[in-house]
Amino acid sequence: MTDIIDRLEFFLADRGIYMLALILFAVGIYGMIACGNYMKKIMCMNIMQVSIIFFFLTFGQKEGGTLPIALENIFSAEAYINPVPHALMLTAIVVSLGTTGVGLALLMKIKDIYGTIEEEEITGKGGK
Amino acid sequence: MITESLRPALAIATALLAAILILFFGNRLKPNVREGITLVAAAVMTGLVFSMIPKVLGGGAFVAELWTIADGIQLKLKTDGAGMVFACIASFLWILTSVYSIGYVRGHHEKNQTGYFAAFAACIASAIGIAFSANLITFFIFYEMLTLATYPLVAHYRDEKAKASGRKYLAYTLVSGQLFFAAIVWVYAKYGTCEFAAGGFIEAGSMPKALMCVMFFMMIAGGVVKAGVMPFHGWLPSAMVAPTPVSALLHAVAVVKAGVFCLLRIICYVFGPESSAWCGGASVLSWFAVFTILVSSMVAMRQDNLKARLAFSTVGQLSYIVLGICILSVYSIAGAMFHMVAHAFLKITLFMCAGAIFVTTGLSQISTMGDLAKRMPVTCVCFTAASLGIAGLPLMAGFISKFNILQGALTMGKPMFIAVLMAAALLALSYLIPVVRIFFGKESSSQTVSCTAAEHGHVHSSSGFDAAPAMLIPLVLTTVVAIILGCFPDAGTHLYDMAVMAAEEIMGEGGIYLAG
Amino acid sequence: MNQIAQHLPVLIILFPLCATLLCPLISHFSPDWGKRSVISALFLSVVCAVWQLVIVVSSGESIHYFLGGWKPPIGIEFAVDNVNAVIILLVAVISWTTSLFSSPFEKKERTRSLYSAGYYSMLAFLAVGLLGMSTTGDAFNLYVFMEITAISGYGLIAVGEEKGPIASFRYLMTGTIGASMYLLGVGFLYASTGTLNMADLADKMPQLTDSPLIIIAVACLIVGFGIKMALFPLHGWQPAAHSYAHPGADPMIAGIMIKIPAYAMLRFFYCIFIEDSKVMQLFFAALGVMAVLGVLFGSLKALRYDTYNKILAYSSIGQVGYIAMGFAIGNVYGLIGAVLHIVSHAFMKAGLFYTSGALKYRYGIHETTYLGQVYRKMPVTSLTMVVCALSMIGLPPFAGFFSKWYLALGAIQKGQYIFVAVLILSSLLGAIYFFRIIEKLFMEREKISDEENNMRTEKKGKELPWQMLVPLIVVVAAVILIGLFNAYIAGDVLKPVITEVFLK
Repeated sequence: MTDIIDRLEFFLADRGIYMLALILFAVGIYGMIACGNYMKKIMCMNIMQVSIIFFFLTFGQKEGGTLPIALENIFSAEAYINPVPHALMLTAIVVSLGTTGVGLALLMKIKDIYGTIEEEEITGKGGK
Repeated sequence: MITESLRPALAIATALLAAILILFFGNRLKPNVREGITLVAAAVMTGLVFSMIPKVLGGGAFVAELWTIADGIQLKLKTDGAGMVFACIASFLWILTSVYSIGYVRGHHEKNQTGYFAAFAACIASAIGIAFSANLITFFIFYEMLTLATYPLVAHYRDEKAKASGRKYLAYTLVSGQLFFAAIVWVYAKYGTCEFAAGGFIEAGSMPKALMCVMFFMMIAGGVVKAGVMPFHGWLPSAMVAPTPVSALLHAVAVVKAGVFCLLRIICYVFGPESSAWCGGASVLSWFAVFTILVSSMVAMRQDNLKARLAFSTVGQLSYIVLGICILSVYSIAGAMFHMVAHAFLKITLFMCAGAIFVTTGLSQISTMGDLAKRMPVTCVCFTAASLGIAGLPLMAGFISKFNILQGALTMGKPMFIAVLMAAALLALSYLIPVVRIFFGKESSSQTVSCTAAEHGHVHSSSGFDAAPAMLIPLVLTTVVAIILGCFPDAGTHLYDMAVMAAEEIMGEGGIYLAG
Repeated sequence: MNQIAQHLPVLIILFPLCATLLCPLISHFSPDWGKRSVISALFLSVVCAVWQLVIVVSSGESIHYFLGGWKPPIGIEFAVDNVNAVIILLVAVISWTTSLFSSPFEKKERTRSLYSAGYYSMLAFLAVGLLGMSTTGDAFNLYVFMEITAISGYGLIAVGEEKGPIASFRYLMTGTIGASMYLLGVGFLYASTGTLNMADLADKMPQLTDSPLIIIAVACLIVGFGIKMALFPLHGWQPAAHSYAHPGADPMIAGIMIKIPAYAMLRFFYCIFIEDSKVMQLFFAALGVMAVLGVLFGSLKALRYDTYNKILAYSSIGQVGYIAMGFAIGNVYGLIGAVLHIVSHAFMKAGLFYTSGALKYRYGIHETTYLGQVYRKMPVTSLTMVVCALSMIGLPPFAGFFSKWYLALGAIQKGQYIFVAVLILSSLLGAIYFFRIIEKLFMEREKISDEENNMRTEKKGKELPWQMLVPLIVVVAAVILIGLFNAYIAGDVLKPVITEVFLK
């Protein structure tokens, strides 16, 4: 039993976590294409962006590494995890927030003009 | 021998400047001032071109390397014998056609005169540019400029018919121009140069025969279309909707001659006689020319519209030149070049006559022109003289050139071509002499003439003698020049000498290249 | 002087960035000055860009600017060599002229000051993004600038015509996928090399070139850049976005917003990967196919439309195909052709959209069906349109001809005859749709009656306000001068860097 758990843990750390990111990414893109509701599209877009953030954070991780804050008794670089992906993802989060904001603003405007945010209804009203 | 000089560039710049001035300020100037610009520019340019003749006759050349136009290629102008022949006729005839145009457009109350004169000047600038280009890129730039500058002239009237023929013109010339472009790139990529050289720079055997043949035909596509070789002549008759001076310019001087000149440059200065013969392109092209000569003459006979008949005659006569080039002997090439001159003067006379008749009497159909000689005697006499010249009667310019081409065919031992050339002379007579007979005959009364004229309503002066002087003088002048050139081909500007010189340069010292 | 010269790369971006932030503030007190602050900031960028180009070309060395003094691979680096100095100047010039061009619009629309402030802020921000994308030497920084460009672009498209918000929203969806793909690709590269600096990536890449991770990264990057540059078949967002964007900002959106990702793609692939690696073969093959199909698709599709903006938008898809074709050819002349086409097409397309905007301003419409004999009332606009259209078709002596010349030369040298055939075919198709417009605008009678016409045009007699004429004249001059003197750009400025840096 413990063997299976060990192997599962290993799998998760080695491949599985990336597969999870990939699945999230695929779900996001699928949603953006398939959903008819613009609000759902924006949500799916966020899922997709989160999956990328997730991906960056996982490959920045390593076994036995600790937070990249200088501790008094640890000097070697091996003991810390790579801080760069985290820094990058802070920026990426800000970017995705900005994109979402713009998307929501657009939705308000679309709602004003067409009175709906359903793709089908808008196409019907000549919004193609 | 070779002098660095900006003179060739100045000649082009003069015409371009005139075009730009007219385009931008034409509407604000009085018509007289505007036409003054055209005439002054024409005179200055002709002076510049003619001033270069002595040097070229002495075997020298003016070269203007302007600037690098593309990586590794100069925008370069050079005056050699062949180019000078073309430049001389284009610049000289510009003066005459502008005088004639002024008479025509005013007599006919044309619209958009400003655009008309601007495009006209741009056309001539590009024609001179084509004549002086020293490499393929420079040549192509001016060649496409000519296409674009001619388009507004063809579509001048802006009605459905004019637009349709404008479209047709563009379709023919742009498609062929793009093929030409691809071929230029190909040649440049393969041989690393695109500088014209007498005798060509492409060596026979430097690439597979079939491939070189493809290259040859892509290269001449531009020329063949502009020169109206059948079956690529479709645009020429439909471009007839344009005002007559435009037809005169298109059909006698700038566009079609540029096409023929393009063929000359490519066959003799890019591929060279040897490669052209080796890859078989020249002989295929010569059969196209033979076909065109025969068929166009027959089509011309059936046209009742005078301008249309002249247009098909142009198609045939141009193929004469093409045939002359394709025979690839020193005589025939010299003859071909001189036929460019002769045909320019003769055909422009014919067109100017047609235009004068149209403006003065409102007639455009041959069958209605009975007894015209009484009304417009001078015009009719000039028309007769030019018709005989086109047919190649001795003592007219057409005779010299045709004789040379015949001699070339004889030395190369091509009896078939000789037969065609003889037949073509007779055919030319058979489609032009009936027109003359109607002019001098009494097939319809003079009453009909005045009736139709009144119907048309744009009769300039129904009681004056012949056409307006601005139209009459140029057409008399061109007739006189054509006769003088016929009696003394070397008179004045030594065009014949230059043509022979250029032909000898192409063929090398031996004079005759014997096809293997 | 020297002190300033050191900081040029960042100053060029900093001016519009400051204007972005200050414009709303100033507009609160005086909308006119807010507008002027943006125009003058962009003008300063132009001046600096010229200066920078002179420095880079005359010294023959590229400028490396380390932000905050942090050396790569830790810090962010701005690298400017001959090629991107040209691109930066291009972006600065078009941004400046566009900001000038759009100023009469809101006067006519009589909108609130808040609107004007937002519009100019976004315009300046778009310039920031584009300038940043062409300057940066850091892969992640490129992503940030890409998103800056995109976000301001969404805004400018949304404030356009009635269908603007929808077009903008669709662009937002697709654009975000593109940017995410790019980020994913960068992630893979970072995971395998541990660096984000492009020069550093180039050093570390040779050992890894054929690993599957890199191949996945390349595929992601191609899709990412492809979406951003509207490369067929990833162009779906583009026609609507370009046709319905704000007519004042459209020249910039259509002119350079899809070119700069193309340039970034060039820099990314050619600087990082070696030419004969497996990855680059994949890149050549993918781009070649996309380019050929895109050129044909864009040109054919443009034939089917009557609306001026739609025709221009679809023709852009074809023209981006030209650029991609240059990348796929991948020898000296191919790349020169591609870069030259980025520059010349930016001017041509911006010019055509300026004319579209001018028609919109003067007549309130830009559907060519209703217009005729425009040249009588708007000679400068008509001249611009003719010059740009002829250049688009690729007729000499305009800029478009020479980029086509280099592309064709490169293609033949590499033995890719199909590219030459496609180039010719697309020129001819271009001739059809452009001459159709020219014919309409010059030869048809006007379909609007005079009364209607007077109602539509507020000011009679004068063609356009000077703010609109200046951009038109700049564009015409650029198209003609780039055409005539392209050899200096291609031979002296681009060629050394392309041979030494891009094709090591």
